[in-house]
Amino acid sequence: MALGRLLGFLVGAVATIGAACDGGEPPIADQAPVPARVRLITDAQYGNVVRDLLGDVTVPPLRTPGTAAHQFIHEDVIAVDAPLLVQYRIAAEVIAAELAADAAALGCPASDGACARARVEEVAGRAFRRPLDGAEAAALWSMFELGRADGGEAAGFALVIEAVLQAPDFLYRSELGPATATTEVVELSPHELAAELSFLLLDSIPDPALWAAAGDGSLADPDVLAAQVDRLLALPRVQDHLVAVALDWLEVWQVLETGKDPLLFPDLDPGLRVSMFGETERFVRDVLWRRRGSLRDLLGSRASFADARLAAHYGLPGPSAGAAADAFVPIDHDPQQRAGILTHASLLTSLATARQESIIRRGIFIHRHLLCTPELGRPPFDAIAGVAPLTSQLSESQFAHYRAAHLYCRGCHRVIDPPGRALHHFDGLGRWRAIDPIDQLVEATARLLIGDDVHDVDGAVELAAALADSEQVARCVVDQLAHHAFGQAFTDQIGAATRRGYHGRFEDSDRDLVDVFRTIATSPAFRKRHRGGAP
Amino acid sequence: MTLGRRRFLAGLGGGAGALALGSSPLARLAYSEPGDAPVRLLIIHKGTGTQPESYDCAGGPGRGFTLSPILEPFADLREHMVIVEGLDVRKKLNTPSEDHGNAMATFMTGGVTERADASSLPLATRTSIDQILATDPGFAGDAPIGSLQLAADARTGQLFTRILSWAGPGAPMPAESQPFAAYTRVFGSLAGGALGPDQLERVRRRKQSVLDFTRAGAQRLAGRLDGAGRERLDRHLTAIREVEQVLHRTVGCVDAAGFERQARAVDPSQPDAQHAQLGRAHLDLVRAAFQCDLSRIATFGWTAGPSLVNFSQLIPGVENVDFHALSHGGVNKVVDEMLVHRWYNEQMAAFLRTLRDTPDVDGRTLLDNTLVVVWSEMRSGQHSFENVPIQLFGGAGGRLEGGRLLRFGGRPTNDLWLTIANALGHPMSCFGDRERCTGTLPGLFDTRGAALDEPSRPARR
Repeated sequence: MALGRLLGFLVGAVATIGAACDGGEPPIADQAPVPARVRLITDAQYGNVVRDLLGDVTVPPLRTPGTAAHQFIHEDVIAVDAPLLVQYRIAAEVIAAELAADAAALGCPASDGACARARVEEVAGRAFRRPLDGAEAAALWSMFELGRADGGEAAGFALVIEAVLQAPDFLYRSELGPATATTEVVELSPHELAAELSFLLLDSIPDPALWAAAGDGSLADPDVLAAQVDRLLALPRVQDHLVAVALDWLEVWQVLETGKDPLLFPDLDPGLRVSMFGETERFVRDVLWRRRGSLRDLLGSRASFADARLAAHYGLPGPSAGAAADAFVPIDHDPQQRAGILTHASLLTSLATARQESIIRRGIFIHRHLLCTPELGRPPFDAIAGVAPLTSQLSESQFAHYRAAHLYCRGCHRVIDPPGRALHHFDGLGRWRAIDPIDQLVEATARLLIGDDVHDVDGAVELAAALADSEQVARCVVDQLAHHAFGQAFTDQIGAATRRGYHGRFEDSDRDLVDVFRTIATSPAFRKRHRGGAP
Repeated sequence: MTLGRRRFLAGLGGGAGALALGSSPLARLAYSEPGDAPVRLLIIHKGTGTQPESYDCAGGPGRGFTLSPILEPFADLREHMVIVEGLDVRKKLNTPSEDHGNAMATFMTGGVTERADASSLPLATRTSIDQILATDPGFAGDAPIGSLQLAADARTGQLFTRILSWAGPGAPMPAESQPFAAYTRVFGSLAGGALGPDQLERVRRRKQSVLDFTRAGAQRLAGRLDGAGRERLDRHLTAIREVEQVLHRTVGCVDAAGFERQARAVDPSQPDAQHAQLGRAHLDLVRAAFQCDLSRIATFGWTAGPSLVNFSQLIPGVENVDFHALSHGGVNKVVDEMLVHRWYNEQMAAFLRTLRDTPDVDGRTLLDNTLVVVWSEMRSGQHSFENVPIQLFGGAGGRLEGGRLLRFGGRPTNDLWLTIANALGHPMSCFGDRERCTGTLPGLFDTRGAALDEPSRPARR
């Protein structure tokens, strides 16, 4: 070796060590806050992948613990124990039986072995989100032959699918990096990265263009990745999915299910619930895809949608005569009364008890979903029981005054209650009122604590403005979307730098919720993993 | 395969012959000797406490007590029952919004829950008693299903309020709530059909090829993981092995087709109206698994800790709200709660009678050779954790003398599992956290030795 090259090597090595000691190189937790891992796919993803692979087949309902329908954050703590394996097995057998009965399922001319083999490898590879190795391809082909011997080519294909849908490579998302990697921080392989991206945005396996970019390795190029993200964000299917994610985040679907006393709320039939949900779904879609994803609009805009039923519920003029009764039309809410999603009948109806509106539920919702206030817990049950004879005689508003005055209650409720008190103009179905149930003028003044700032607000419109302007709300929303994307929360200890970067980009984008997904998908944390224990 | 195992199985031929032989279990009992049947353990959780005024029995301790209104449905099983009073769940302090789940984890594991970080789920930090025994070959034997986790209702807002079994720290084992899936786990998907021997063999070969493929994938993935990820894949591999055993097993000691019909007849999408049928379908599968020695350990949960079952369709007059809401202040709370708890005990008594009426291989009954532990995670809907309701049923293989009420003032529930584990042959000296363990409960199994009315023991060893 030439002396010069050796010296160059040594200098380089020393420089590297020096940088690490100086703190020039960021700590592992900042380079790759997420560990190398496998993640179980959700039940929704299972169904989506099966339909993407096999077209219009019946997917039996799965009930994997930790992933309910509408669950915003997947609780990925369950191993595939025997009960869960049996569920996957039953589902795979039902799907396979449907394929076995369909001579066209394989999609190849009869007795075209080359076509059949190519099709088996293509379907299995896409299901596993990576090309098969030789042993896998051979094993699947001999299964095809085994099934074919018993029941023809459709049966052969069905047996392959039965195995693929129970295979760990299908059920677990691999976030491990290349098998040959030896460094502490690894880059996901292009196929793994493509799968992460497609599960985030399509809730399924990569579509053909993304699959091609993984296959030729070009996805490792940040420009190609960014272009794929932009391409995906323009797809109607991705736009639908992100609307669903936002609705899951705010638990808007609750309005379809929440229990209400039919004697007190005879108006709330299933049709009105659907109309309430329909407003918020259309509003969220409008905000995300036609109003630049603006968090400010989500929280503060009075431009919304209603059908005839909901317009009447709000006391607004409905769609003009001649329009279908269930057609939604743009409406403007009264600027003195409503602003943003928190004043939609959907949320106000579900953030209530079966009998009446609830200051506490409304307050807790805003603390959890918009302020990220640490949970304050519940009071001991004897404490509630002890004062119940008195407090059960109070109106909702009087009870809130009681909690604010009571030395013990006040400790938590001076934080919990104010956002709910500011919404007190709305009854248990979200109808505006000036007079409350005990014939008093509604009081909706509240002193909000947002971070270290105090905001005195009067009513929902001022509350919405304070929240829409708040940096804490902006950070809280980004943190939750990141938690959804990674299945892991970033904190001051883990992923602090990544998190700060996300917050900064969000402000730079004027709080564009769609851009949060772009930011996450193109960030180093998305494509890097650390190995070896917690960072 | 041991000789003992063979006694439960009707041979490997499969098909109609096996079922015909199996339809006459008594015929095979002639081959067995008394005293060598395995002991089985069934742990039944019934959430949301009890209604103390209608639960506590007058009289006792000992044999002289009067069954309370809530326990009255067990009157004809009294000689198979031990009522245990005075045990406390020493759960994590001050967790009002998570009391149910925390108390359940503490009852079953003897430890408290922890979260990985503030926003993650609370998870148990220890192994539950059923899993300790399921991994003890001395107790679990060579039964092919290590343990069953079943539930009548999986609805819950918090995952850990529906978990009874924990494979280890942070490793919940959620129960199966769909009877057909539970049936498939116990009997496989081939048992109830009418396949000829050739057909059956071809189906088995196909299923085996699926299992071989999934096992190779799991092994490859396991090889790339360590720590918790590796454990997860190892448990997946264990599950594949269990399915494989089911595939090659012919269950002859019961009529599988009857269980399949029952499993298909109940509708899990109606968890309120079909609560009784769902519970019974699962419990009957436990009985079949015990009877055929497919498993010796099962946990069964009626509901999550905070029960979401609405009883207004099941018991005329009970308020039309979920049971958890009712327990926190229903309109007729005291009466409604009493009726609900009685209803549960009627269901369980009916099931226990079927254990009593099922002969075991040793000539005793299945109830004689089983220990059933029924418990709740709290005493009442007011979230008190002292003196939680616990009843034991069955003879535990001649180890437990029924017809008694025992009072242990202020001992931790950990001591109950320690005492049971020791009686069943597990040599543990303490169950769960040291500070939650004070020693065995005198007089529970060692009937002749200790006084029945011993007051509390000092809480130290």
